Amino acid sequence: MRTGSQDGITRRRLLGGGAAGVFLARAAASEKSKVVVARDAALRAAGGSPDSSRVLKMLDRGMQSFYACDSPLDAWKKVVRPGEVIGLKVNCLSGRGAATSLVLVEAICERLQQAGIPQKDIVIWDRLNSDLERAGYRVASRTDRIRCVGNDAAGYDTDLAVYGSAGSLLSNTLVKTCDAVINLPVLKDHGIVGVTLALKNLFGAIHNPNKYHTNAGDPYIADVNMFPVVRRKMRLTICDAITAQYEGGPSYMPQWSWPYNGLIVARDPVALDYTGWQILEGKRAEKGMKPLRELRREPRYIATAADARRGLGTNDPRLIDLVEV
Amino acid sequence: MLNRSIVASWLTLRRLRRLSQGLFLGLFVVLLCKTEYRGSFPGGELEFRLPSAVRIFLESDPFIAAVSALSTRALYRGLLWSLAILIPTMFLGRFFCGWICPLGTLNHLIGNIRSEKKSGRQRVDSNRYKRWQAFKYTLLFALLAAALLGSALAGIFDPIALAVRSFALSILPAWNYALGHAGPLGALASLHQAHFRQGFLLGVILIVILALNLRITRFWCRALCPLGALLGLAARWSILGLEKHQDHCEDCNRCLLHCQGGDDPIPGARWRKAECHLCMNCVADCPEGGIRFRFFPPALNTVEGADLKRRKVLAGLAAGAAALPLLRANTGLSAEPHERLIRPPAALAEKQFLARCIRCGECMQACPNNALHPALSEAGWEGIWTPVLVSRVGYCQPSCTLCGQACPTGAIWEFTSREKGWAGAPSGPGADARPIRLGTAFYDRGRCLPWAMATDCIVCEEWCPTSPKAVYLRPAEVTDAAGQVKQVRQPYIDPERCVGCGACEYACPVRDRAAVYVTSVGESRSQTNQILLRRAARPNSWLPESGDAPGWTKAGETRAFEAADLWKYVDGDAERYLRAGVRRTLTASYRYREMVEAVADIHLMESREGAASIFESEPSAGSRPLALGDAGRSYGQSLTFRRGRFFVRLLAYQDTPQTEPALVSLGRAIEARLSL
Repeated sequence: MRTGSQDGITRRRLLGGGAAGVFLARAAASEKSKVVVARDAALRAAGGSPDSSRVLKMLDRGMQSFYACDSPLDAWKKVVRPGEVIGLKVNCLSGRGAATSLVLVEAICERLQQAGIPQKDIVIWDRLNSDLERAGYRVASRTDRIRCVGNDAAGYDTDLAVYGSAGSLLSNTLVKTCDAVINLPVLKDHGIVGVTLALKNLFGAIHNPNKYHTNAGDPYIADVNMFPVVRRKMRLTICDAITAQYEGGPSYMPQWSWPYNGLIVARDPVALDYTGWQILEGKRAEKGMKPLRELRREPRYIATAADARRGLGTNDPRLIDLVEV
Repeated sequence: MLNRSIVASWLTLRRLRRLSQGLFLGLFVVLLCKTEYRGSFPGGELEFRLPSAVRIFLESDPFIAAVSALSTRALYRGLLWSLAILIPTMFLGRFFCGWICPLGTLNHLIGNIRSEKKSGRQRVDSNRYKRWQAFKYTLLFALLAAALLGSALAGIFDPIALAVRSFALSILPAWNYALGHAGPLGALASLHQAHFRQGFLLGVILIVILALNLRITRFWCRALCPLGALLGLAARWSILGLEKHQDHCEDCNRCLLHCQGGDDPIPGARWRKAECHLCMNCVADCPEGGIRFRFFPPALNTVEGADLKRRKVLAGLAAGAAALPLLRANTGLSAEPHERLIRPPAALAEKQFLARCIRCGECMQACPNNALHPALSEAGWEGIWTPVLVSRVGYCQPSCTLCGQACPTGAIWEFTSREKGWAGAPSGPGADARPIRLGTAFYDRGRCLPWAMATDCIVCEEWCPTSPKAVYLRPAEVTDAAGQVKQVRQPYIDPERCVGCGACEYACPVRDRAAVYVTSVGESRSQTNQILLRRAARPNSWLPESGDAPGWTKAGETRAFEAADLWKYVDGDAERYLRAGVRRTLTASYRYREMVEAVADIHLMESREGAASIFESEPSAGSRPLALGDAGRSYGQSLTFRRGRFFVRLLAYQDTPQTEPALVSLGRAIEARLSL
């Protein structure tokens, strides 16, 4: 009687499989989260506002570098597929000065259309219509062109999303309208949670963000990002660092803003947040300001998001492949 | 032809009366059941209407109309329906008592049950007229005198109000409870199981009234019913009467056997018109056909009026006149209003309310949250069984207006959701109207989890339905029992926003005695029961208009945020303002000569120290001092200053040589307005 049949597990197969598993595990452990920082020192025109064509080129450089593609179109085709409805989660809470730049959103919309996403399948969204309008966006609900809508108009899903310490209703735009979301936060300081970047921008997708600022947002920010819908639909983060703010956030404070003239591209929101945090700490040090840790607003939620339970990404600089272009 | 004659012989007046009684009793029960709202309130401007007929029994009650007219010196429009009963009574007699009254029908049904105390000769004797039957007239005049002095106490004795109150607050909830626990019959029970304070007492009173019929047929109707008394007085002019034929009588007394009114239909005695219910039993029971009703009968054998002597009228009037001072000399209306005397929304001021409320319980039956209950002593003894809000059982639903729709006398005026003003921030014409307030909530800090036990709890804030919320949370560092310092959010009430709906008390997780409770202080209906001298002034014009500062134009409407809603303007930044005690924030956009765009924020803090703490907490590096307000700084493209309780921030989007001086001029315009 043969025990090692064609379909059964032989000793050789078992050993071979085990060796392969160990190899793959080591490979995965050593795989780094890629974060691309694209900058352009000549980004701004004479008046100080960003030049739209240079923003587009900077975006292309960032995307090509991140996806290792020769053309921006090839890079975008790795992000989206025709037929999908793509949501652009902007950050407009602070009004025009510290919101996701219109020129960046226009550049992304242009590339999305070239990648086969028609206007009707692009939705720009944030918390409130009034936030969008204060940031210079024009609210638009017609479904035959690019939509721009706040959660207050689109409403919230009736099913409660729950993870860890967070329980929230999620925006209908995220849950029902969009197939995938591109996260477009702004590089800026936050007076309670330290910094507000990719992870924190998802507070604009829930109905009760005001409940989650205690304990410097830890673990609430990480837990909101653990909601299954968020994890499933979040495709890419492009952080607007054209104008960054190192103190006084999240409200716009021109005296603590500076023209960083850059974009940060990553799929790993934790790695992006860690990178952005270090940029802000660097600027604070340059200005003679105390580090966030001393002000008791170190963004601990970044480490929480990276912990073994959540595994949303890595905050270990050794595991972040930081590329500057 | 044959069929017609069979129908005619079957369709006797007694059978017609029985049909009528069954029909009206069924209608009464159906309408009462329909007064219970079955549905949900999604909020917003939606108005839910009760079918208009639910209060028709009360509106067609002439006694209620008379009492309401005397107590208020006006007749509530719906009560004009009572003429539909009163005028025919003047021609036909007390047909209402025998053919329509649901309580009368129930008494009639129970009275037909045979009992040892009411058989044979005893039954005949008990149905002869008794002098004590005239007590109802004394009671009628006592209640009318009380009404004249401004109290609708009469509702306690009115048969329709009594029936509605007893069924709505006791019998129907008990019936529903029984069905709900009766296995397969549970499907017939309403999902909404109401529980009412004093439901047991009200049920027992009804049962006693009904049980008395086992001893004396329709004891209530004969001896106590003030509506019956009023209709008896009106029947004096009735042209329909009893005609007796003495020569046909064999003294069998069968005409007395089932007499409902105790009006002596027997030949040889004088028929008492004011007592007769027109039940037609005497006509049907007489084997010789010696009794019949006809128009304009001979008056010889009839007592036309009620058994009413001047002494009884005076005694009644004196009793009513004396009752009110006795009741009002206690605490209640005149002194020491009970803190839990929380009336339904749109209830009139207490004095007018007691002049109109007939204690029918319709509002309590209609309340979808089981929030309204009959008072015992909260309103003094004069206010017994009038409605009060018991927040621990239920709270006042923000968009609900059903109690106003159900009230038959206007004690709760028929208000709209918009007038109530809780369902959402008002807009458009009338937006400045203030919401209807039932009272104000207070915290018992010895029981509240964040205050007393260093435990996070935001249930009351979550439930608060006002917009902006009246319950606001403020972070605080506390030390727990283990000595650990931790941060919790402690709840506060903004009395300017609180409407006293009771949602916080209802939802409070401290189950036995809530840690937050509502009292009547601040209720809209009272001018004196107030806690604040001035309520919720609308944000005024602290922000300059176009041209107030040279070169500046205002580029949009002023937006106002209360403390609890500040996160909607600056989520994440709001907390530090809340910690510093912000009360209100105003913001507006400005434009300077088409060159500079700016935003101005004005934060009103609870104290000067709060404004100073925000000002001082911001880094001053890179700024220069400004002679603006109590202290000011310019950062070039932005400036901040504080003045008294105000903290002001101006920021520009363009950095030009004109930006800083322009911002300073705008700041001075604001300072001037804050100084007014």
